[in-house]
Amino acid sequence: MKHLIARLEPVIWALFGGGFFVGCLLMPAFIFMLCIAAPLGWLPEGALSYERAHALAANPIGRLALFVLIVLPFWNGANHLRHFVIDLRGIRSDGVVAPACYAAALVVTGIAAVAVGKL
Amino acid sequence: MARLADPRAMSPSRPGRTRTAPPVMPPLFPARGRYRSYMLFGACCVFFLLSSLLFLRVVDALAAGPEAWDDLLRQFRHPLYLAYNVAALAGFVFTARRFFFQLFAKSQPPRIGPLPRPPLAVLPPLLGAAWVAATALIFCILWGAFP
Repeated sequence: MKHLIARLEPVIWALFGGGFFVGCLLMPAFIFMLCIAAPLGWLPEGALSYERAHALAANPIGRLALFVLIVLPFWNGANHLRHFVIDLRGIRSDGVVAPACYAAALVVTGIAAVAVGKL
Repeated sequence: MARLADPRAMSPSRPGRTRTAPPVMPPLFPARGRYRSYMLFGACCVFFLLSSLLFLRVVDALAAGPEAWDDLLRQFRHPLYLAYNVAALAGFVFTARRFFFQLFAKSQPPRIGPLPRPPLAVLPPLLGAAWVAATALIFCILWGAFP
């Protein structure tokens, strides 16, 4: 497992960098509008009604954006969590933490693909 | 085929007479000096993980129908959700500031593919402009400015 993860490091670091970009560029605006402004009623009437939100999300660009918005930040978080735990607990914890983080990221990637496909 | 390097490959088969000191963490680690912002930056990975799962829930509610969507927006009004989302927003802004304006330029190689790297002084303003443009576009789309 250790050698497999070492071989996959370039892919994992590419996903990590992509996750930083997506998370930093897009997440703040999405979180503010979707998770703060919409529930508090700060948006115009009907701006995020079900029909409009579904139409935005279900077209190919919307599906791709949502898939990227879920998957890349999760890979970023998984890799960052691995290294955060190494900083705190030492390299010995990596034998358990790295496979757990990347397995979780793989599972979330699969679930996101199915969920976005069902839109 | 070449095998992966093993960091212990060069160690002697028997320990020598001279013993190295055991590794000791720096005295300021983890919560003082520059380590504080480094560890905060690391801890923000929790927001990346949880907010991804939150967006997975948003997609699931959209796929489930209008009742599930309205129910989700109602749940987002709960003070715990609001507190988490405000904290996550602050975490993402902190991460973006550190990543775009402190780390990104320093981590670029002299050549990016076939092209030379842009001057380092240009990269942070470019990234800041891209962040403002992306944020404005998302605001306009979700505000309903575009049909």
